[in-house]
Order: sequence, then structure tokens, then C-alpha cells
Amino acid sequence: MKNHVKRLREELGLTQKELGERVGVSRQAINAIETGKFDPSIWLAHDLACLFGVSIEALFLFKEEDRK
Amino acid sequence: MKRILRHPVTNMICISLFTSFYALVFLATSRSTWFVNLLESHYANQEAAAFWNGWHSFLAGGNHAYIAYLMIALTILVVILLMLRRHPYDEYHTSLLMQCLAVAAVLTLIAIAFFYLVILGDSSGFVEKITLFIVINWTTVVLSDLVFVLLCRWK
Repeated sequence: MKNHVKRLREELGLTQKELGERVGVSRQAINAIETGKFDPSIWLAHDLACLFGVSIEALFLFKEEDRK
Repeated sequence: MKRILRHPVTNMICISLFTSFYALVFLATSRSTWFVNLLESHYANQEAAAFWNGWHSFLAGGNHAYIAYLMIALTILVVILLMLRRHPYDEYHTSLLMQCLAVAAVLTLIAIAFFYLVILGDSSGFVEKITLFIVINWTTVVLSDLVFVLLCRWK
């Protein structure tokens, strides 16, 4: 699922590792989310959205063709 | 299930039990004349006889103990890598682990189907064939776990 995690992370000046530490996941998890290889759970998506100060819908691009 | 898989200890216990069982069987049968008596000395399918004769000789010589030692060494490597891990798996790692387990399960099912056909084609040498199946299954599971552990190195 495409998302704005990388852009917002870079706007905050955080590395993937730093972002991971703030939301309680690994750097690999953040990288997988940013590259669209992994869709986070609802709680992780919520934590990311809260950290960036945006809604989940603004952070993750929900498209019908991406529905599993 | 994800809660159980989050902890590296679960992985350590499962892989250790899995390896311990087959290693004990292989080591116990490697020095057993009872096991040698179970092996088949004549194969109906002459085309594959050369391969099965070689495998038969390997088992009859008790050399499958070395397979057990190799599997124990690989499992110890996996356990050590898991013990060096300081954090539980996050949801991404748990997802990866489930994918690795799924791959191991699919390979096991394919191996079962393959060996079932092999035995139906020639029922002689049943013990040799099951032993080969166990070696392949054991190897795929331990290697899948090792790949997962290496992929999830989180310092």
C-alpha cells in the first residue's frame, strides 16, 4: 500500500531507525512500510499517524486495486 | 498465534524439539543392527536402484549420524543467533516468520506427495525412502528458520 511515511519522516528529520524506535518497531519494519512491501496493523498505522499529526487516511493511500 | 510467535524463545524451543527428536532417532539407529536389518537389499525398480543402493549403503554404514550432527550444528547456530536477539519480534518480523513457516509447510506437503508417488511406484526400500524424506524435510525446516533469523537481525 502506497503511503506518505517516507516523506513525512524526512520532513521531521528522522531516520528509519529513529522512527521505528518511536513507534516500537524495527528499522526493517519502517523500510518495508515505506516501500509498500508490508501493510502495518491498525494500531501501528494509528501510532504513525499520531506521530505525524495526520489521519490514517492522509498517511496511507487506500485504493480499491490494493485491497487484498 | 502471532503473540506466541513474537517471542524468539518460541522459535528456539520449537526448532530445538524438532531437531532433538530426529537427531536422537538418527543417532540411535546409526549404531543399530536392528535398523540395518530393516533396510531393503533388493529394489524392484532397476532404473533407480543405483541411487537407492548408494543411499542404502550410506545408511547401513551408520553414516546418517553425520547428518544428525550437521542438523544439530545448524540448530545450535539458529539458537545462538536467537539468543543474541535482545528484543521480541515486531509485527513485521512475525509476518516474515509466518511466511517462512508457510514455505516450509508447502515444501513438506510437496515432499509428502512426491515420496508417496515414489513408494507407490516401488514399495521396496520403504525405510530408506522415509529416511530420505525426513532428511529433506528436516533440512528445509531448519534452513527456512535460519534464513528467517538472518533476515531479522535487529541490533
